[in-house]
Amino acid sequence: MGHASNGGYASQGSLAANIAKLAKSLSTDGSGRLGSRGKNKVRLIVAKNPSKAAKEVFSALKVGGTESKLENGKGQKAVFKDGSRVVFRPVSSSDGSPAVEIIVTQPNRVSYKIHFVSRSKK
Amino acid sequence: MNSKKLKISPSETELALLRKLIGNTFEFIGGYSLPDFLTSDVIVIATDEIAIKVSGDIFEAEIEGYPENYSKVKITQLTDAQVRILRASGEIYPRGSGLVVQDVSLVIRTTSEFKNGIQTWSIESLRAIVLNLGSTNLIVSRLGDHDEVLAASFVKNFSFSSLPSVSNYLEEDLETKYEFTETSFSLFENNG
Repeated sequence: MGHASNGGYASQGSLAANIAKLAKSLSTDGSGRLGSRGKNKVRLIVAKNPSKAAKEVFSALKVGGTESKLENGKGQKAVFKDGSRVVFRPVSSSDGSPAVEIIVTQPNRVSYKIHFVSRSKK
Repeated sequence: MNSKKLKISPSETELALLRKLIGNTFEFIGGYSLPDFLTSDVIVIATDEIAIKVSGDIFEAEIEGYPENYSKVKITQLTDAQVRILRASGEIYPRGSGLVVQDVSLVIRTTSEFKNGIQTWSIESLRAIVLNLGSTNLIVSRLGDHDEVLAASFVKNFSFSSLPSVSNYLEEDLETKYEFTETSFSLFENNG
């Protein structure tokens, strides 16, 4: 069993465990959410190449989940047995930046989305 | 200040498709990338007469004061050829096969925001489709308010507490509170 930063336990191969692993190399807030606070409930990760960074984060988070393309053509998803899921959208509808949506159901319910932006857009 | 209200109701075509399931013999649920824990953005419900595809989708609206994605559920009919392809190359789960669809109910979820006790917005949308198969109920439900993912499950006796939790980005504070209400209605009793 892995340890989640927010006090619960994340089982290996779970989205929570993948986030905890990724949090070692990315900025997080006090509750272990990836990225920094942006506006309108969105979190931000600033990168030289936002598209590449978003793909890398999705690749790291999908491990252990069932991955497939979304039928509506708006990206890819990986779903986990506990209902947790991560969605990668190459182009978010709100500002066009790539986005990753994270919904964790266990050990604690957490939902947020991250927009990947270049330094100039921050 | 006027409260903004958004209502995403199933179309008459979608309701008619769901009504057509009543009285049919249930065969399977399936999908094109549907793991055994029955979670995906597309879930097919197949009966001896017709098969319908329940798809999760998103659309953008500015009800909260900025553009945001909101979930909706779409219902379409599969052709016989599409059902054959699904049987040949998709994932099929025949639990409950042979049971007759006695009723189809819809669960409608309303999310409302209140600032200092005054309602600022509300969104009403289809949350789940429930097939009463007699000895069991098949539930196909949205899992989130902002993404496409759906889940299917079987329960002996349906109640709102049988539904999986719905994720969202809402966070309460001293001024802002959220209210979630659910209602259901039977398509057998409300036969258009």
